[in-house]
Amino acid sequence: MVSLAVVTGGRWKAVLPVATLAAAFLLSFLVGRYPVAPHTALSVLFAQVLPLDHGWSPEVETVMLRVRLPRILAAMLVGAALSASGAAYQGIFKNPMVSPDILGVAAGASLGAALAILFDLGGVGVQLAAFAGGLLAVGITYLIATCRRERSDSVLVLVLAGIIIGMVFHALVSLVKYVADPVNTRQAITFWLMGSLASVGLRDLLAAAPPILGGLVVLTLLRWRLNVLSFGDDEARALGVDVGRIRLVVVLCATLITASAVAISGVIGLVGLVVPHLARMVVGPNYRTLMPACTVMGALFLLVVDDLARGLVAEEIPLGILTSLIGAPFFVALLLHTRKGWG
Amino acid sequence: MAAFPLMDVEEVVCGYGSRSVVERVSFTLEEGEFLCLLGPNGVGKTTLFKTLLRLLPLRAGRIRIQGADTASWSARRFAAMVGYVPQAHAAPFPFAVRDVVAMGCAARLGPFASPSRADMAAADEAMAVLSLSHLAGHSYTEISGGERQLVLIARALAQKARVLVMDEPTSNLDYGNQIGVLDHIRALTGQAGIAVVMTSHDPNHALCYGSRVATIDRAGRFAIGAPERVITEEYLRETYRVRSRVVTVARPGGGESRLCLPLGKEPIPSCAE
Repeated sequence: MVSLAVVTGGRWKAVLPVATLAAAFLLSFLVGRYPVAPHTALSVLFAQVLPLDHGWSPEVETVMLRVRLPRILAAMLVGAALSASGAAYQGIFKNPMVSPDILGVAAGASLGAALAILFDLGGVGVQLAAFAGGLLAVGITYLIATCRRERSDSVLVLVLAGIIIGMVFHALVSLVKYVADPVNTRQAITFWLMGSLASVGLRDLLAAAPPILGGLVVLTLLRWRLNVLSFGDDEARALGVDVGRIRLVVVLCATLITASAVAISGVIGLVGLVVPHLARMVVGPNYRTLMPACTVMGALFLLVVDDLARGLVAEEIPLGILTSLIGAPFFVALLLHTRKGWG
Repeated sequence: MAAFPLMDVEEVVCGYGSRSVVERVSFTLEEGEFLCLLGPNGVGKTTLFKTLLRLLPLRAGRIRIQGADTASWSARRFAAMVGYVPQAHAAPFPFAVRDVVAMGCAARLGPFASPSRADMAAADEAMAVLSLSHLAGHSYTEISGGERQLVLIARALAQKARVLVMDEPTSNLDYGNQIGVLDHIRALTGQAGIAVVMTSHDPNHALCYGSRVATIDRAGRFAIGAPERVITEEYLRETYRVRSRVVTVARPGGGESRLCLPLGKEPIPSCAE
């Protein structure tokens, strides 16, 4: 029923989200305190590739290309990253209720970033430390789970280990905040933990884009296997899938993507949980179409929410707070109206 | 090809870790066979199954497919010959039935590939064999238990495996669905080139449908033979402590079948005899 619609209406279902994303991309240049007229925005963008008369002030161009463009790209990149990795984790763990927060990835990345801010390591230092922390957390989680590998419920152990490791790393983050200089360092850490794209510059973007895009490519290539893996280890192996290797690659890619995203944006909650569900409602559960849909819809979701964050009121609302406030009621509604077999 | 049996299990010992559960399993499986495996809960049927599917390592012995030792085979190569039909279960996501059946093609696809048009055609064909075509677009989580079981069998057909290993395909099904699933399995084994190994708890399923019957007793001993030789009143009393009559009835279409009529469970301290 749902999938028949996918088969027959596959074309426009692929075009619609991409077209919406393109429209949102253009409209996002207009959002913000500095007013930019729509036709001016279009002219500035076209002027980058076409020889046009510069009939606008240089401030407009600076605001659009130096301030808003990196932020728009970052929102799309981080949204796509968190959604795609969320969908991947859900398939690997055979559970539609998990998200990148599982495995302690976000908590580990937070600790790394908090330490980097504490020791004043600079922007790139924060990124590297966040990535290292994320990998460390997932590594410990994975180690605990593999110690009990002969048990068949290794997935449950993995999820529980992830929750515990997440708690430990959260506690350590609190410790870092406790010892940090209350005047500026503690404030910087707190602000970073709330999640925001306000301070993302072109250099941060260039550092985070290659690992995120690379991971997305691998996840997209492996996406059909995620269907098979979601039926469990024994069945997937009996169907001829090299379960151990595929799962390791998927977990590594999803973690790399998540940590890279967290490194530039801080902790942005619930995107990795909510968007895969939305995408499943639109294109069905088959990862063949779900993974690309998640990538596009994740980019769209975070772009729109970030526009709200910087356009809704004069003072900017931290993005992480907004996604949680929007995502939580949505998720509760999802729980209450969930289709049979989802829970 | 005809010189070798489809599957040849030789002196296999299976178990978990350092513990052997079932010892000395030897049998061969020819094309067209329908082997039923009986045994009480907890004696190691699942362990043996997982070993036959190479989900557990062999503790000793050999499994040959058409004469070739499978010890060094990849999961992919093995899956091209031996398919697994688990008990009908709830999938975590509401996949379309056609997509579930198409997952049988995984062994023929590279890690980066999705099913091609030809693979989807193979899935459609497998669904047609089991009269499931009308369910193709339905969600796997919303069809009945009997239909789900048939979908999983169709997936193994799309896998194009020659040996199908089925784990209690009739459990949790109502009577009509049990007979329907068994009819389909028997029809499949009648077609060229497929053999089925199936676990069951019902001796009558083995008597009515099995071409041979294998048993595991409480001591982990494996035995195999013709259904009427293996399923006897003594076997049912010794293994399950059930008193029974095994009777012969004439079939309407000619020929006869044996049926097991349970008379009652013996009291627990069975030292009377």
